[in-house]
Amino acid sequence: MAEVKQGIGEGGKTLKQMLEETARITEETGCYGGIIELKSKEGDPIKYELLHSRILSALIAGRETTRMIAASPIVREVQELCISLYTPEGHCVATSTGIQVHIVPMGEVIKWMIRNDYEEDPGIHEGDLFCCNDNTIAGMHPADVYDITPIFYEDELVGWVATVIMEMDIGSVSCGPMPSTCNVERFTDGFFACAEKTGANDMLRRDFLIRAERTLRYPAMFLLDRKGALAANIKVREEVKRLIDEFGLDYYKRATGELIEDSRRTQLHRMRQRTVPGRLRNPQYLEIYLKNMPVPAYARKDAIRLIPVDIEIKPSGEIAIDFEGAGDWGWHSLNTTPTGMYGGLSITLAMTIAYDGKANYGTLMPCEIKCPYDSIVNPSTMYLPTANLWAPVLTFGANFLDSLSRAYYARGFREEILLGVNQVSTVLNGLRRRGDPRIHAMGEFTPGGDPRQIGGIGSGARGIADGIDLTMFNPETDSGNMEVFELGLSALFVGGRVMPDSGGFGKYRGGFNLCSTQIIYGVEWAIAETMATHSVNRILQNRGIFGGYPGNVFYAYVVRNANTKELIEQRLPLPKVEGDPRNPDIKRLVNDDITLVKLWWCSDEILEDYDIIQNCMHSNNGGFGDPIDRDTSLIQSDLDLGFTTLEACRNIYCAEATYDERKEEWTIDEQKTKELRGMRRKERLERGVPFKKWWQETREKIMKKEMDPLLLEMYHSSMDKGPRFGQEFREFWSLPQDFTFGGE
Amino acid sequence: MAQYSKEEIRDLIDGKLPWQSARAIISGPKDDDRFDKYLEILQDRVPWKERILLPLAEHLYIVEKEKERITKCDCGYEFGDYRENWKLKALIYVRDTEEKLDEVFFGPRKPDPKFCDVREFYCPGCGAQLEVETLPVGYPAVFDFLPDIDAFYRKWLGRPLETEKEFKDLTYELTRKWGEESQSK
Repeated sequence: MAEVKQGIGEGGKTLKQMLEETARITEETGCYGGIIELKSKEGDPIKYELLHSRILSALIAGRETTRMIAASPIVREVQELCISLYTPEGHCVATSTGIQVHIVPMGEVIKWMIRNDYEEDPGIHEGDLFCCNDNTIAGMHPADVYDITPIFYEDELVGWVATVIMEMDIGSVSCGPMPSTCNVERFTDGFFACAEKTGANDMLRRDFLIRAERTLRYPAMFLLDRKGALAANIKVREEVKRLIDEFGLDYYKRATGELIEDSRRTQLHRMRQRTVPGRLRNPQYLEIYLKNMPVPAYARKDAIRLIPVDIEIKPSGEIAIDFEGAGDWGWHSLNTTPTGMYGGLSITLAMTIAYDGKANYGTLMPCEIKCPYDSIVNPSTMYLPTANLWAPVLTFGANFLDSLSRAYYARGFREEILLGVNQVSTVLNGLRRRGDPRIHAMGEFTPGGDPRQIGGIGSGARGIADGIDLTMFNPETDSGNMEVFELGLSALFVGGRVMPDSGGFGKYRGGFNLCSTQIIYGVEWAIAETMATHSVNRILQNRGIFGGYPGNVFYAYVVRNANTKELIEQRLPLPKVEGDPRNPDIKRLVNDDITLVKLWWCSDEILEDYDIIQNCMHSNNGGFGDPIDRDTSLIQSDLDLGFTTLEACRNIYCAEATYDERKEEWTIDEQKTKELRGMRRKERLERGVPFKKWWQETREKIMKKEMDPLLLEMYHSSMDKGPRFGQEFREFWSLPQDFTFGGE
Repeated sequence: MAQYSKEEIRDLIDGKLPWQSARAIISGPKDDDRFDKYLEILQDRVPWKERILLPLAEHLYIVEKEKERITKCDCGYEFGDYRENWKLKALIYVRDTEEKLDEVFFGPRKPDPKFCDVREFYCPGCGAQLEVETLPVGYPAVFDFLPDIDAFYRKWLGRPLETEKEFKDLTYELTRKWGEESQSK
């Protein structure tokens, strides 16, 4: 009789058996792991909360440990990392602060290892370490590297701890963590660890370290990040063992399951308490401009892709998100995955409705995402790059916030309203003159190159106040020291300032964005390019709400052969800020070859020392409400601070203001303002046309396919992706049932 | 359960509550009676008598009018059945040239009018700007939010409305009619 091998899970079960059983009983009961009664919570709530607090403290302490070991400023200062605790099946129990987008994908990697029989080969033992940044398994982009450690207690695997760290470089064809234009297929993405066993006995394998040393641009940063993650994982693992010693194994298992089920119920309760059921819609679009980029011929084309977003808040409180109608995938880095979309949803929920530190797998359980197969949100091939699978995820997250805001408004919780934004930037790639000749300059994480470093982008408006100026993606993130960034990178930060009128206009405006200027310095050569995640090119995402305008499109000025050195020597002013966008300082103060970058762009000539990059980091941060409903005291405050112009004051807000030079302050003429606002309403009634008339005229154009070929192709790509989008499009424009945008 | 006075809720939704107090409400547990107080505040403000069933947007409400439920502006203008996208009964102004866009998006900050419509929707009654859409040229008007009012009142508030309506998007019935009119011309 063949020997029955014992599994490493509970009672000798294999992890695969545990995963299947948990899925089955959850499906049968509707409750996580069949936990119908929260006995631990209700029996002794203090003990239950204490366990959670101890777990959370261990995770946050682990995160801090990593920061002390790592050298990368992205870890030490920007804090692009996160640590989570998982059940043996890979379900998140608790997560630290940080990039909580990884709650789902890190768990998916654990499940992938379980389903792929890692228990048999390569084996899972105490002290092992597994590394993954292969997003076709799960993840958000290759620069987000997962280090995963099993937790054993008396020979039984009782959980996993996983740390994610964003790397400064991942060895891709374009350097930087979010490479843009040149990644057009999987093998341009750089370094891959495919759920690889990279350590044993709490030590990293030497051959893995050597591979990293020889394939990455910043191996020292990468390796110290791995060591930081390993230290954090060990710290959490040992604390979990202490907790089990203290609370008992049975209690630990039961209570961690309850924490998941509890979060599932909390999520449903909060949706029912704070929103209104119904259907919410807001489409998103991705623009891909590779026709003139230095990429292989098969990828050298422009395309726009539509992703309709249909969100249903069900009467149960569950959320169902459907991307039916999402267009075709392509050879570019902006395709995403269903796991990526779940990641986007997890961070959006964890930082808004599930804000109490208990967001985990349970928070996501009442949420369903449908990504049509063979589309840009669920490609049918694994050979695509995943460098920017973040791009549609970020846009979706912003859309989700906008839509949820409408439901909060209807229910009366206006204070929860926060409109989403898009991420924007340029990156810089090159060869340093100083120091290690292998190290390249990477502008995404130079000061001002990435909005997160210095809080470069404003949030969308809120429902009771303006958006937050110069905010960041992760609320606890620190901007980091310019000087530290300048030590490693080949650009000098010379100035930055809030751009007046850079938030979407509205009763409450979007938060303001930053203009940031860098001078390239210390390079043999450099190439600048746009970050592909910036999804505000020709078409603004639909970001205003209730009459507020969207924000603006991102752009940058790049000056080649700049006379900056002469300006410095002659002590003449440098173009530190944008100034008037219609007559920018850079055009007045600097000579020579100025390029205004708006679409995807990659410099076709090298940049050298003293050349300039000025990022105008408009994030399309929308406004809330009709701008002429804006309280005049808010307008006055913005005028006094130099955050809005008299042009916007008069023409957008319809407020009359005068400046008192003696007092150095603005005064609003309330009576004149009232008149101006009355006149604006009349103007609108005169210039507005009945929708039906516009519909008839636009319908004619659609029938004749009178639009740019890129848009025709965009619609054509979406029309056959499921029945609904095409049918509704035809019904809205009352088109024949056989109408298509094809070229036949 | 947290509870706030009607005055606090009024100041909160008007953006007048001191930030420290607003911040405490944002961070704290939510008040289960918010919706009722919210409705009372808004009902007191509108110049008409129809019962507000649900606030939909700034200036817009879904109200009960006899046996129908309609979308109504605070000025009194009525947009018809709430299950029909109200934008189809609004005035529209499209910023589809560089010049029109430059009034709102200064210099290089604007989208490309060949690709992007900036559509402003105005109330035909009072000229309030109710919504601004930025969409690819040719994209249908977005039906931003179709609430399931009966499920809300019946299942979430526990007080079903007298006459229930089917939860259904009626927009396409109107566009079908417009299409038939266009063909018959």
